[in-house]
Amino acid sequence: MTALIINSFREKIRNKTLYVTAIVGMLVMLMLTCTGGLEINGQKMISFKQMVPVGITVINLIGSLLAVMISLNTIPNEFERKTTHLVLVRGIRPWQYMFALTVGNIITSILCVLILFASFAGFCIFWGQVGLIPRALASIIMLSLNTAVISAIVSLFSIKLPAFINGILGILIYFMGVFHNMLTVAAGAADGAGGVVVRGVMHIIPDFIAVQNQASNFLVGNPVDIYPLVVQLLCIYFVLTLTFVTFRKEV
Amino acid sequence: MKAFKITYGCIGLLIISLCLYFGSRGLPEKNRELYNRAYSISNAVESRIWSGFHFNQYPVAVRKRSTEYVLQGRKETKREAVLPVTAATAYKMKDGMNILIPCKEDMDSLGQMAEGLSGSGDELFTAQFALDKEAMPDNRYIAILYHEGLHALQLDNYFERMTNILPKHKDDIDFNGMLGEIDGQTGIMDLYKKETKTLYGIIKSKDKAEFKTGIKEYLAIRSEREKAVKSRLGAKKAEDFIRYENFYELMEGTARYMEIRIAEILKDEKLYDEYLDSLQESGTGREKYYRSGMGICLVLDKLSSEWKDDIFSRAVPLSEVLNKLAEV
Repeated sequence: MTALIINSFREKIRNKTLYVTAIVGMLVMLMLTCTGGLEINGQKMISFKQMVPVGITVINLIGSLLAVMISLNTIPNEFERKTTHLVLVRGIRPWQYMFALTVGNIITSILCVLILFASFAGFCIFWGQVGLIPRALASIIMLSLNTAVISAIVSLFSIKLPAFINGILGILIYFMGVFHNMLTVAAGAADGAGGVVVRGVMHIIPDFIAVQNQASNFLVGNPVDIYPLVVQLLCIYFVLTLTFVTFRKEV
Repeated sequence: MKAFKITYGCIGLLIISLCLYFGSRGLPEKNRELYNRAYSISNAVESRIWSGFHFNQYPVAVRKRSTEYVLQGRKETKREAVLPVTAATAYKMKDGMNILIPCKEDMDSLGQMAEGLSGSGDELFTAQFALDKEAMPDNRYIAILYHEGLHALQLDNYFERMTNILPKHKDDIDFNGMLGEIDGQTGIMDLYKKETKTLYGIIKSKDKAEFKTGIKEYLAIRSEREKAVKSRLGAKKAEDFIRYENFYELMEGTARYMEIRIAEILKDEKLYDEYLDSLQESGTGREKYYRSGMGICLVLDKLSSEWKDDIFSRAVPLSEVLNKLAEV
């Protein structure tokens, strides 16, 4: 199993697209945080304090979008290239293979977030604020729980769904998770059968904002509530478990 | 493979156990301590700030995740959260008005956002990781409890009368749209800022003549701003818009006024000054009515000790009360 995960991860990090996307992400990050060209609510973001929240939000956003992109094609590509068949004839069971590919996707997605974080660390050094790096890193690691969840979900869906639909669904789930609070309010106000469906959907959408809140608490030194983080771990575990029972017909 | 299955199963058990453990931890003691402090000043608030407002008669439901711990005096019960989302508000239950408030730990993260104050979408997105975001001071939490407590009083007894201030055809009005349009007008926003700055000056003034001139000046600026709103939105829309402004000043301005007075009762000068200094900063969205309403209430305190007696039952805009009392 470990060998499968390592191979899946190696395969991913050999992919040039990953680096190109990560470099573009880093450049966007650096442009936003170091050039002082960003404006929020008519106010120029020029100081270090103003740029830190922007930087972390950008890492979170780009990291999650990268997770969707990374996880989208791994499993379908394996099927297309018939690698799956080659692996399965060697006695590896389908669930082991799906699980390993999903874990590989999760690890690669987290690595991407850490690469993006390197640019943020560069930004901290640029401003002479090296002391913030460990706290920000821990905060980013908490945020990478969200990245892992989105990567796991997109990987699971990719076993069954076409890439285009899966990509849209992945991004939709990400934004629904980020705006979980507001959408739950809206769902609560919806009437009739539609309302019941929407409320049901909001129950299964992972609460990304709860994890973001805890990451932010850690960054600014407020007490951290462990519960939302553990719930996110449970969510990853649940999705990973579903890879044991989700197959394609051709397998 | 057996080893993998056992390890995987154990990890699952561990995660589920952690979920159960962290999920079942009750209300942190800090919240009870803050409620008890709020409860203990209830009589002083009734006698010194708002006659007829008994905070201690309302159950306070402190929300921790999806559970509410309902506190009233020494009694404590537990229930499922009544709202789908964390918010500080007053809410009518079968057994009467309840004050709903997130636990202190959540308020440390959410701050006054949970009270529903407006901000731009961009700010909402990035403010989460702001380095200068501080935990909410204990006294501010108590002040917010009283803010919601005053809403409980309003909603319980006077809400229908208070909504008479709003236009009759209120369901057809896009107030938020108009608010966005007005917020985008630099000239009008400058006048809003000038209004609250003038209120600040009046509250701070110690000279009687200066105080009276300040009120006249304030009313003149307000009238000038209302004219500017009319010329921007047109007479009909502006009339509706101003009615909404008056409503929010009465509803939320008085509640914010309660907050600053609580800071005074708690002898928290720093918090008191923070509220007062907010009059010197520019606010956007509905937040500006919280501030201007509070400012007018503080000026009214200097003019009369009885202005609060029937302010909700008569449901008169605060600015009208100020105008009338200033003429006397």
